[in-house]
Amino acid sequence: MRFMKSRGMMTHSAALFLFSSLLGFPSSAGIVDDLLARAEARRLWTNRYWQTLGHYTPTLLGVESRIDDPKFFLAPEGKKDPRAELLATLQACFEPVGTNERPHAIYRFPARLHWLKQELGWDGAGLPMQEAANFRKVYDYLKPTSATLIFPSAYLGSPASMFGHTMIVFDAPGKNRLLSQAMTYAALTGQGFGPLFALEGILGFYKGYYSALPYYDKVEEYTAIGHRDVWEYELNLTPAEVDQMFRHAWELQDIFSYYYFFTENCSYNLFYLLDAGRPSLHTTEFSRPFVIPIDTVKYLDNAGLFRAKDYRPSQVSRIRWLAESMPDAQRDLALACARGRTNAADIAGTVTNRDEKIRMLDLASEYTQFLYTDRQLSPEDYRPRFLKTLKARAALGKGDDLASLIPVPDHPEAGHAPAKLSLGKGAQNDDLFASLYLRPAYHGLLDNDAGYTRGAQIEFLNLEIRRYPERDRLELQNVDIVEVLSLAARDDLFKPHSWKVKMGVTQSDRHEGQDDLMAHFNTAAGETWRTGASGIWYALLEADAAVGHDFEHDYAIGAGPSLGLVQSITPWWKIVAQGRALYMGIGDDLWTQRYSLDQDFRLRRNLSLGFGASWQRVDDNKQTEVAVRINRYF
Amino acid sequence: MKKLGILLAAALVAGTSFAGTVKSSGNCGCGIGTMALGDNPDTLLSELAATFLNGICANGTFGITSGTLECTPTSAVAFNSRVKQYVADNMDQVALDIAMGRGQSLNAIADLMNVPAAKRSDVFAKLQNNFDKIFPSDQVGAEDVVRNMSAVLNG
Repeated sequence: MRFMKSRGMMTHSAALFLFSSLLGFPSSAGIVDDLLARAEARRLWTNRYWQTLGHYTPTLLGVESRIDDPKFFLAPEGKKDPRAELLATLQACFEPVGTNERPHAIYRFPARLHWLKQELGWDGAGLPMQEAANFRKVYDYLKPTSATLIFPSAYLGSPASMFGHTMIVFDAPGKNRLLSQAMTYAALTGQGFGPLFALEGILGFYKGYYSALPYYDKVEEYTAIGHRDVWEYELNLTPAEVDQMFRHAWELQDIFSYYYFFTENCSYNLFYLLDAGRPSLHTTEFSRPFVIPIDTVKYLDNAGLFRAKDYRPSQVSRIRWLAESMPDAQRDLALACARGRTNAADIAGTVTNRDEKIRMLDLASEYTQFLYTDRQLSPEDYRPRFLKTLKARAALGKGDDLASLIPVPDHPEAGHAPAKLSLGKGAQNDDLFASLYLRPAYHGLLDNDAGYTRGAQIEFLNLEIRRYPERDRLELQNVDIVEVLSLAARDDLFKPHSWKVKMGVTQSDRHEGQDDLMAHFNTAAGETWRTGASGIWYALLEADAAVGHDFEHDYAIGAGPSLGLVQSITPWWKIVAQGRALYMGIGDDLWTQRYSLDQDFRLRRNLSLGFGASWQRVDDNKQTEVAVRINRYF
Repeated sequence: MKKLGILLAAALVAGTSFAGTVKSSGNCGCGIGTMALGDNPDTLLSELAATFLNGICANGTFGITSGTLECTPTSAVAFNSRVKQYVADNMDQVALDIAMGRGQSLNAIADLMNVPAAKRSDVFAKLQNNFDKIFPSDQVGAEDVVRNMSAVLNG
């Protein structure tokens, strides 16, 4: 709306400018002075849109840009002074071409210039050029007329992609999206590895860069190598809005700002592009302790910004669908072909139905490719086998459009919101308690799986506080820094491993009714299998290290097995049954066992009812617990 | 124990980024960006603009190996340099699509060649029927594939 309002003023000042031009052509210097004076008079730098273009954000003392790259500022104090930056931008635009070593401001900041022209009702008179030739070349080449938000879904196999990712692609009319350019913001982490890595990522030690890459390159990276389904949301922006968004994207290429995993990450930084395109969105004011990619998608969906939604299945999804669409014997033959135990000619010879042959050869070639990208096949084995299968396939001619038959799973934005608040009532042995549970992000084993990956649990900073009226005190039940559990099912196609990492502080439960906290670190590795279409079961070997006063030497280290079942009985009813036994033999000498059954009933997308029952024994202390919880996702 | 160590290290890496690392977007020889900008790739301005267009460099044999695309001008008019770059970057997917006679990569190439929608079915069928000629061996490179496609369609 602000944009519209200021356009009204433009005609007024345009008329003024025209009038002054008629009196005699003002010199370049005269025009600059006039523009500067008018910008000053209107305090144009306080305009919200200028704050957006400069990525300015309020601080205690004023404002500061979230961009850390000095290249992004024309005024020396531009990072903290939007006024100086605005005036410097106007002045720099008038510099004769080639006087400065750095690229000309008209080349570097087309979005700023475009907006200044609009705001000041100025047609660009007096500028050494209206637009940089290179910008025009690239623009004409890409012809961006619409923009699409890309959301590659989360994939637990790679920790860096646990939450998913978001980026923007600029689409050209009538061109396949694969040919579009993808604008992405990502941390440049170098070759580091280890615990420091995580800390540095959270604390903003890495530089995050905006960069543009061909979208087909990203698609390959996600769907073939990363095994991630990709969701595409075409934005409901006008061509003029896309233009301005593109101009701002141009301003950001090769510019860095320090990367913060939870706050100033890929999703947050895309907000500036969106706001540059449509200022009324105010997405940069989306204030949450965390910005998670799926939140961005939900936020924009609620804002009605999506006009089309597309699903691009990963290669793993395509293979799985193909494999399930044929009888076992045919599937086995196709997989044998991919593994080199038989060849494509055998498929043609064994099966007579042409459509069936086509499906088998499609499965064989896709699976051959998968084995190669999964490094189970050498290039020397891969190339001839892949080509032979494709040759056999090509000989059969065109078949059904199988890609269009792959069912679209639940959209990510249709799932529960990632933050969770639970209020509960329960009893531990004979003591009643009331509980409050808060989880800022993201998805737990018991949460409804619609829109998420089954068996993938990622929880950050979840906290449970209990009040026991009979004990007359408030107790911290647990606070976890992180809990990640990846239960990826194995079958004859894919053989992923399952693993878990958990660290935090929790009640030790060794002595009945006492409030004794211990810090612990728990990790596990094992395997998971499917139980029909809607469940999984797993077996893990766990290792646990704990520090607390309840142990003989204040610490204990142990290990033991755990088993579990995660089953969706109906789309709205889910159960999780778990059991584990640990022997803590180092630092102390005790057994702990725990068996639990939890159920979740989804009432609405962001509301569910939970029931839990557990029995545990820590050393000699036996404890039975039941609880009911109402869960609200937000 | 080694496995646990690896898993542990992997989990700790979780805090690094949503997106992993940025790929280097240096001067990629005959990348799309360089081509779009003509013959002055050495100026700073072009370099900047090129990062907007350049992708990964690939020599375009099967199996996503990296290298630099050779810069030899192609003769057929319809097969412009963008097609060559696309095939080089997406060799395996292009082969898969040609074998199936349809697909997104084939459509992308058709877009680059400005093939009208009505003619695509015929063009794709022709490429599919001549799969052997386009991919005569598993050592074939993107240059050859583009030349062979051109020969099939113009022949």
